[in-house]
Amino acid sequence: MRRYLKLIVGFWGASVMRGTELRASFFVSLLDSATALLLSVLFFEIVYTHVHSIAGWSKYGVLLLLGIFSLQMAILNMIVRPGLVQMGRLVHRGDLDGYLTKPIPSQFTITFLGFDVFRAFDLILALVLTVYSILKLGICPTPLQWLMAAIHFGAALVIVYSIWYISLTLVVWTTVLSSWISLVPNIFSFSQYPASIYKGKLKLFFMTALPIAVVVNSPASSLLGRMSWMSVGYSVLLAALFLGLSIAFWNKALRFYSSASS
Amino acid sequence: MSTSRWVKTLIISQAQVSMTYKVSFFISMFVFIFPLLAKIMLWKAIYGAQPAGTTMGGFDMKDMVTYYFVFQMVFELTWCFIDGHEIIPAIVQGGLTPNLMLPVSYIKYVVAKYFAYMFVPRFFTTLALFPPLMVCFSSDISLHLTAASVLLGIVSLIMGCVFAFAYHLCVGLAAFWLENRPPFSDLMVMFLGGMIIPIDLMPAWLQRINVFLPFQYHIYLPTKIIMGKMSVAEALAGLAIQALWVLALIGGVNLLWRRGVKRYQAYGG
Repeated sequence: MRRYLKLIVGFWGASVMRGTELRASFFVSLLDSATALLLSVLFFEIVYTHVHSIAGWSKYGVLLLLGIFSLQMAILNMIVRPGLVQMGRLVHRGDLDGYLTKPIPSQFTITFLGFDVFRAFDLILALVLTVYSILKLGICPTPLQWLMAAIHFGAALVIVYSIWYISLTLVVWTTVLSSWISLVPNIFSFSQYPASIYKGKLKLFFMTALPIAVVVNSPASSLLGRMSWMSVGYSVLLAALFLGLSIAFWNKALRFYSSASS
Repeated sequence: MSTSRWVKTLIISQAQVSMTYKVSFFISMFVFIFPLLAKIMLWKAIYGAQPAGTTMGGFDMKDMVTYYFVFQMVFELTWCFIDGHEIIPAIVQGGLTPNLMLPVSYIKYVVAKYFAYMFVPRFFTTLALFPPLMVCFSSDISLHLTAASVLLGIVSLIMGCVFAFAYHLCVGLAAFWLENRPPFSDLMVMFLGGMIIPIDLMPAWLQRINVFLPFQYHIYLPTKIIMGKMSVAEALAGLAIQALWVLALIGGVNLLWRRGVKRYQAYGG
């Protein structure tokens, strides 16, 4: 375990040094990284000047959803994306060989290969939005509700990461990533809105096959006291299932990997 | 080699490059669909909870769904990432140096390159995806095309494309001073350009400020003209202002390039 932690610290330290070497660029990137969150907040600010609720969710309820969604995306973009974005290059140029020969799982190395320090500002803003929404909602979650939300939150991170990794594993066959890296985050944009806006088969699909309704709505609903411990078990089970699938699929894909290097 | 010949060669080669990996190209076609569908479902839920016939900023539910479809279509045809992909890395990492020694203008070179690299695949994406998508949502869409709206819409769309190139060139060339793009440059063009929400729904004070800014002349104007939400006189007036902004931005590109390249320093062999 200590060896893995040391590796993560090493990978991230190098990434932070690279990211902060140009000082002016660093501060500009910090400000610019918050664009997506600011746009979404502005969107809902304007929408709620015209309506009072969306599918039963008040303005601050929706902002809580947005805050949690942004928190999840900021964490994944900060920790996981910098590594995953390199997967195309690793396969395309044959650089993956170097990681396959190391005495640690290649999926671990790829996942934690980089660290995007610019997402820290995103993370702080998302946290501020989440806390602000909770205060404005006037709710006071119990310690058990916080725990429930935390487990849902962690499970959601694992689910999104796993689905993202599974989708990118296909690069072993296609050899080029291109805009593919944005596919899964774009699919998960469905989860930043209340799950109740989806009806019928689409709702069933988002609850089971592609559990994006679980991803954001469950932590927020836990804080609002709308979730049971049964749902926590379901989230954890789904997370374990998807993580297992991502590992199995990666190991299967590696059998089809043919090195491009000499 | 004459300018027209190298431009033609560059365009053909870049179009081929952009479509070399077929599966990747195919998947990239679908990337934008999910946020678009999510936004449409959200708006359907918003309008669904209101009394029938409710309008917001002059948009009923069908207008709103149509707006997002047409806006996304115009976006796909005109959006440009020349700044982040090409110009900023070239300036910051020194890749600009060999380009300065080419017998052609660097600005003309990157415009031709990115025009082919982005426009050709996106043109096919638009043709292949939007008609079937709009047929699927035909009961939620209200698009009454007229000869005037199509003709003026195409003119505005072409100018929107030039606008996008000029704007993103300006943003990219700012890296001579900032080592990056100016903060919030995308946020401004997305929010004040109507990408997140139609400008007509924005607060009145913001709409008044926005009149004096260029952002709505990129995608919003072509979208509204194509949707038939503007009279011919309004559309012509809009086109005239759009042309002025395009000229101003082209002037900005020339100025930033002349000043920036004098400031540029690159070391190493």
